[in-house]
Amino acid sequence: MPKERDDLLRGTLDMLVLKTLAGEPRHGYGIVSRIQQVSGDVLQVEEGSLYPALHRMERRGWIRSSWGLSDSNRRAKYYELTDAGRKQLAASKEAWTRVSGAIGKVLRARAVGA
Amino acid sequence: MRPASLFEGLGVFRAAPDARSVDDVDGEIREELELHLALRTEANIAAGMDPDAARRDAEARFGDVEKIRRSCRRVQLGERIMLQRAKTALLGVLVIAVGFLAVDSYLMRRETTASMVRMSSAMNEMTWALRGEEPPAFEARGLVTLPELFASRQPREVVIRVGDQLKIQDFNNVGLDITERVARDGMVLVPDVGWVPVAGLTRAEVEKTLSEAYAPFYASPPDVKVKVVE
Repeated sequence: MPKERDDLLRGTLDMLVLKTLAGEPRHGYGIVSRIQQVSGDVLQVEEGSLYPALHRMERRGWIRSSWGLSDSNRRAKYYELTDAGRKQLAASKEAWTRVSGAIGKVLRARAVGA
Repeated sequence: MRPASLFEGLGVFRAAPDARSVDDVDGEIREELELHLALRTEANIAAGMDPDAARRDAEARFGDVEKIRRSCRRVQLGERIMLQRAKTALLGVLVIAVGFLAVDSYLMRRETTASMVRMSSAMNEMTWALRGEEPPAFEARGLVTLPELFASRQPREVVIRVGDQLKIQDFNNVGLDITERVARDGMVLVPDVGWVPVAGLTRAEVEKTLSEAYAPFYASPPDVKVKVVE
């Protein structure tokens, strides 16, 4: 079921982006770098796919953008979390915790008769 | 920094409509994607790659730039593009409808004119047939006016002579439509008026004489026409 897999991945990417922006506003490259750094390079986001996701989340009102200057003094588009985005992040975390906990229970369960 | 929408916190309403032009949106997308590639390239160089390899790696990690640019554009301008297409389609339909009505109106007008010409021509033929004369050889017989219709081809300067057979008609009043021969004494007999001298006069003079002679008998001024038929 490719559609469901896409939705799952997109939902996960949205959650990771929202969480990364919860601390401070970042531009796209900063978001990718932060996710890779925090995950110890385990989570490799396809870098280009981040931008349609960012624009989509902005349209949904979860994040908002503004142009500023980067550390290297270049014009860069910064994203920050909105109140709606914080609520969405909280809902996503709760759902993720519930699902991952359930998966953990299944994986830890002993086989019947073993 | 853009201010938050009043309803943003509810998570239901979208942000206010984008006031940027399409060119501005396209430019911002290109600038944002290019910055990412430049920053990744710089990071690669800082990590020890040579510049060409650093750029190639940045592009490989990024994916298909053009495809991603189009995806971003769809997200940002999707509603506007759809609205624009709807407007274009509506305009096309209107242009076709107006064109159709214009052509239909033109064809209808042309057909009506042709019908009127045919009707006028038929009336012309009937009139001349009733008068027992050949119709005039007008270039556009269907478009003759009423005075032309009743005009005789015979020159008005023709002089009436003894023995001529005259056709006398009054086109303003029904009742006078006779054919009489000019008597030896140069006179012709017409109803109500009696004998009238006509020999030696032109057609125009006889017509004027008879019109004046008949004036007391009709409410409308007579318009007598005379033609030598034999």
